[in-house]
Amino acid sequence: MPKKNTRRHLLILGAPRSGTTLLAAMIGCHDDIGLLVESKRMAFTAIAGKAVVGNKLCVPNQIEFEANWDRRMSRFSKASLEKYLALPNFKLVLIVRHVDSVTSSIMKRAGKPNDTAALYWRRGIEIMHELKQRLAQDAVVIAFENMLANPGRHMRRVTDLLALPYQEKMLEGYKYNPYYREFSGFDLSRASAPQQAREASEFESRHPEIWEKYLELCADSESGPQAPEIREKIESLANLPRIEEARG
Amino acid sequence: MTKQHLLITGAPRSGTTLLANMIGRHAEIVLFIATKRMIFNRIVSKTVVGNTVCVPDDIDFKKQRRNGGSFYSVRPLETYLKFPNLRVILAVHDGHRVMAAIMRHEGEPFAAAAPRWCRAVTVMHELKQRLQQNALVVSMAHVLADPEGAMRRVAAFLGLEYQVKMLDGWQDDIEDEQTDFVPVNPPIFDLKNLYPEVWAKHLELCAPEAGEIKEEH
Repeated sequence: MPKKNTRRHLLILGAPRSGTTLLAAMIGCHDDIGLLVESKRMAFTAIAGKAVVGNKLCVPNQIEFEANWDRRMSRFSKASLEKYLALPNFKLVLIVRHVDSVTSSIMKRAGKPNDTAALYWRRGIEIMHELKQRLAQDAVVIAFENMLANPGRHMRRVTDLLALPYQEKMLEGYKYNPYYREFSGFDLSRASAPQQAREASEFESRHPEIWEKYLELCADSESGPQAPEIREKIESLANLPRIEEARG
Repeated sequence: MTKQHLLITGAPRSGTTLLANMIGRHAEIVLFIATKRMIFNRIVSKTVVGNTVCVPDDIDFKKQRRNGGSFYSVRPLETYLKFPNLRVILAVHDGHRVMAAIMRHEGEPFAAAAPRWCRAVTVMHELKQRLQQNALVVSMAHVLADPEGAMRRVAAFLGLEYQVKMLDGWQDDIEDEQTDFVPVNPPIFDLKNLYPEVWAKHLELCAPEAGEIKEEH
């Protein structure tokens, strides 16, 4: 099946701390997919025997439209999106997460100031929005919050995009997340941001055009994370294994 | 999840790419073909990750500069031998066919092709001695005559279940057209008399595999 001309090239993109690694671990569980995480070179094109090969990168700190030459280190510090866009049978999976969750996580994990964290998110949304416009049917957007609430539906959307049969074992991808090996289920508490409404409105008034793009991307994920029915669903899904219970 | 590292190696034009394509079809395995980057730990959600390299073109016991280049294009094998849970698959093929294919595809004279094959056999023989049970010799003759049996041996070696789809790997010619395995009679070179030591090592490499296959049947 995966002859050279039918092989699909996949790129998973999202702002840092948006669930890109979890998404990659889930997609990578598929039998016919070989996925790398955060490889800045095009090494995945040398993977043998898989119908779909790909990479996961964070935008904008690991990839931009044009490669970024780091003069001090004498190497490219950012991969080039144009190189990916030139690949045959190129497919794109974009993941978006609420600004509050992303910025607070970047501040906590990477120790970056709020302005820098917000800048990452803004630039990430700008790039992803442009990519979605350019690729249209070859790109799928997933809202992180929706993915946690209904992972099966979103994995089906991904397999449909890649023209592969859906596999139930993709839902067990959280077990293979290289950064959070202790997880034993989906942590739904991460799907809700504290004081989301207030901070969202602040961000909305400061950067209305970015917020508009974010909402457009969320709309492609079929329903935005702030849609009330999704929030209700998240709250009602108490039967899924949760982190606090697993830690006991 | 404990990852297993797999290295597939063999002389140039001895079927390493075909073998990688077949093994790479397995759901639990992701294999690169001749990547020089050690990025196997960046593969997510698979049990076995690895690379396919030709010896001595891509890998040898010592790193080397090739063709007067300014960087080391031949990686040292020691880099791989440090990997935890390393398994090595050694692809061996009839020396006459390998030699003929190198000369035909790469336009090399016998005098240039023969040392490459000799070095490959010497390195693989030493690897087998060092790794013992963690190295498996797979002969192309066996893969072509009984692909299912060969893939069952490989899956058992890696502690995985055999999957039928491994047999479809021949369709994935991502490097070039696999035309080497058309059953034509190769020219006969006097390898046995020219390189008696290497020839003995070649036979020694193939002998345990032949024994195992005989036992299975």
